[in-house]
Amino acid sequence: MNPPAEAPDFEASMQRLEAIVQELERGGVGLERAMQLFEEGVALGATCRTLLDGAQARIERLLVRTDGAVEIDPTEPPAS
Amino acid sequence: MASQTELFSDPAPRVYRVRELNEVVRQLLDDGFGEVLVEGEISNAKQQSSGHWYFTLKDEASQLPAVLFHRMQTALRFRPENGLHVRAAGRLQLFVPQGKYQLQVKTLVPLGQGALELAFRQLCERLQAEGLFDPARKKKLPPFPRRVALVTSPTGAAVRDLLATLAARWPLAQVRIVPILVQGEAAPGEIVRALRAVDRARAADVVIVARGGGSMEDLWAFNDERVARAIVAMRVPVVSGIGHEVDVTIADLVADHRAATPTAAAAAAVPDQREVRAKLLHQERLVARGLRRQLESARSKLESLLQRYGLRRLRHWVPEQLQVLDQRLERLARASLRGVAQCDARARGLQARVAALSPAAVLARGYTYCIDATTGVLVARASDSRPGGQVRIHFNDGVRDATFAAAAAAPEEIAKERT
Repeated sequence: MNPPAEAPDFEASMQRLEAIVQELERGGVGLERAMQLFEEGVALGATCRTLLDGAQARIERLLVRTDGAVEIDPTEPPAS
Repeated sequence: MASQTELFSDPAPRVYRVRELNEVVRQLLDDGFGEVLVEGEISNAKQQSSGHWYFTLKDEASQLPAVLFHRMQTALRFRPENGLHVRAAGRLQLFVPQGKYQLQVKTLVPLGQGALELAFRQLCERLQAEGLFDPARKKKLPPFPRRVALVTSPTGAAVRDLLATLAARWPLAQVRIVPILVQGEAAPGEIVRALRAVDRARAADVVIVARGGGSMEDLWAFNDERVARAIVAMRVPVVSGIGHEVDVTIADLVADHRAATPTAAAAAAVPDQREVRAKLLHQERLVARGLRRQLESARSKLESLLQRYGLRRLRHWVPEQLQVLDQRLERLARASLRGVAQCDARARGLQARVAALSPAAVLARGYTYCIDATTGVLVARASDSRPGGQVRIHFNDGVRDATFAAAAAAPEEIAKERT
């Protein structure tokens, strides 16, 4: 029932980006580290934006089986 | 014997067995009254483990025992609690073994208020007393849900509103419709089953329970105690969006987030991509600013070091650091990014200024400087030179040792250049 893993995860990317901002804002990280953080931050921002730009709403139907399990309704192909 | 015949005329009086008599009276009650309507106040209400309710209907002067069997309760929305004024409809029934009679209640109607309002208030009070409306109990909604389950009717305005809002705000989310009946006798059971199934399979990161507007009767499934308890038991957070703004259901009160309408529920369940994009840009600017600050602080550190120590100890360190910086700035320049163009320009300016400070740049133009071989101090002026003194001359491409001639002329140009 788990969806195909969506890598990279938006939430994790946003959290990491926030952590990077905080570390840089605190200052005193050193030039080498600041460069690493900057590059990572730029990459994360690009990743998030790419995810958003490419996103298309996916809709599917779940059926509740009599045993209480759920399955994706095969008669209702995913729509967008 | 004689007295008996005088008391009772022919035919000979019948002598009943107790049980027989009770049976006859039972029949009389049943035939004589059929269904009766009676109003009174409920007292001594008690529910047996069988589900049957026993209570007494009373007024100021008298009491009537009553029973409400479990099977009669499906149509009854409220609980027959003490103090309620009700109109009961039912049949009078004599309990033969004890010779007592009671009202077997078929329907019960509260007086002075609607049955639904009463039921709503009762359930509200009960669940509130259990702390189920307590905000501290409620789960936080995930900031970026990947899967959103819609427990709602697959047709109608509600699902349309939900889908449109979700697609506009957060198209990254996978939307999973779990179709249910939203009204009627079967609705509560279906809603409960759908919620449990989604929760058990962890088929979503957030669940929206929604229904379009309707009468209180229409929305009744969402005031069902089973539905309320199923929502409470969820591990996946639940957002409710039931009816219009004015409608409040029990499901709303126990949900982790109550939205006034299906559209508002969708808006509460997912972030707005416009806001997220704005935040993203802001974060990127902060990252660029952070780097800029580091570059500036590195530059000022470099300047102060140059001033404090002169060139003696920086001969190797400075060019090395500058080279590192240059490489980084080169990479920064390559990392083309909207919103950081400004940073990039600043960094390039900075690069030029740092480069201007570099002795390597000066040496590259063909100048040299020399260091006293014994003291390690820069020989910056001709007057600093000692006849016969040992020095190391630093060229762009290496170092050579030299000795000052006894009375040589000082290399004025170089001295000037270095100071």
